[in-house]
Amino acid sequence: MHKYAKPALFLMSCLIIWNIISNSGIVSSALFPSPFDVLVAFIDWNSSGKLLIDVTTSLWRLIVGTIIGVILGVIVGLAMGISRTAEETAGIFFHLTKALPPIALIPLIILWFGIGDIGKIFLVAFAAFFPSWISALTGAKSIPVHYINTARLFSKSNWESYSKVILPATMPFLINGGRIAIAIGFTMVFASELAGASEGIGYFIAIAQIIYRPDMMIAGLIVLGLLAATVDYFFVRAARFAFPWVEEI
Amino acid sequence: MTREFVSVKGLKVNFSHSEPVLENVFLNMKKGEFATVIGKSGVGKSTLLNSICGLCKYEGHVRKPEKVALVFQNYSLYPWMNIEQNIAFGLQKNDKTEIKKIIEKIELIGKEKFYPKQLSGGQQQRVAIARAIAAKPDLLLLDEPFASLDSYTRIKMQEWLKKISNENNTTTLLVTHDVDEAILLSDRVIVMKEKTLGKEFDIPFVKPREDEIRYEPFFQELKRDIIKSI
Repeated sequence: MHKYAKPALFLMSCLIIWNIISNSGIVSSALFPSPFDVLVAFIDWNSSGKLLIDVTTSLWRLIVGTIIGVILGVIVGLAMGISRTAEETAGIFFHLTKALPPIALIPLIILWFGIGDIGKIFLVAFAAFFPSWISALTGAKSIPVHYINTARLFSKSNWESYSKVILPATMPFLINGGRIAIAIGFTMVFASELAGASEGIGYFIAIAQIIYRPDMMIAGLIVLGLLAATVDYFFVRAARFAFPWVEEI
Repeated sequence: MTREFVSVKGLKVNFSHSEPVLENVFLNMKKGEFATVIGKSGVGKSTLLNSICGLCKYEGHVRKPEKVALVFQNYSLYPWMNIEQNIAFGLQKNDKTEIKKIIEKIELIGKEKFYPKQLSGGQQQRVAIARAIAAKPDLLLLDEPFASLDSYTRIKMQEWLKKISNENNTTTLLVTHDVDEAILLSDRVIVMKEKTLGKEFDIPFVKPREDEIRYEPFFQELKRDIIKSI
């Protein structure tokens, strides 16, 4: 059997069960639309030209926010993992801030930045920062001591030790942190768009709720899920290509 | 020739405030000598090497040449660098011809772009030793380099190290708990016992040594004496 046959069969079964439940009258089809209704909603969304706009808007917010959050998280995490002074000075601040749910910041961020891109990118970056920071911090602390000692014995400069030893040694942690950051970033894009936006998948779902269209909501959720899975897939492929020596991706 | 190329006097290492790990260690080595420290696990053999190359704090006096290389038991190759890059890391400048020569010497031609995980344990350790030798150290420290290899690969690696050692004539201090290995490779075997270096055995076999000397009665007699003193 082809390797995709089993998951395809499973997916087909789910769609058939979904269709049966929706049309059986057990639940109201107005609340639980059939796969066909969802497909129609999706086609309408696409033909209106808004699908592409919503997807690219959400994706843009995700990518920019995640990149900013991950870069800052890695810099701070590595600095604190390498320097005890840095950890003793700033550690408490970041550990306390980490406990804050990023969603709780939404009202304040809307107040400060409005419902435009800046606030949403800030929220995504904030959410993406912490998994990257923790991964980089853990990674830097887990570097086998003989890696560092080898660099010392070969009289490598600090720059060479950081760029050729410390950074690559933490790469498996950074990649995993990046994947978690993307997943949390998606949650934040969606949540921030629900709270107030004029474009984006979250906005589309929020509007669908207001006009009482579960078919549109489910279409939006499927697109969101597919988009998240696609981004994760390409991230993993890119990481495997760029870092073929990392085994745990 | 005097044994003053490497000089360790009254070395004491104390990691915590409890019992010292090493105490009252004296060692002299002459240039080009291949000495082996042998002893049971946990007597402080690795700590001695780490002290000599300055990787741990110690009391006492250590005089050593400027360029020292250490090969660890667990290869310590960087998994993110391929074989070429790992060897280049040991060189001062990225000299392609030199790297090619080294790869030829360790018989890994065609595997230059392989990552460590794609090599066997013996091949990885060959690269680790080659990287250390590539740096042209004045003193080479080997910390149980073949401990994690199977016995067949271990014998092959001992053969290879004998060859490399004879070619380069680098002053080498090997730490092992394999008595055969110590006698085959060294000019002198020093027993480490109770936190310090004790009885010494000069190895009279002429170099280069054939592996068959293992079966000579004198080799066996020497081996018995060394084991008795451990």
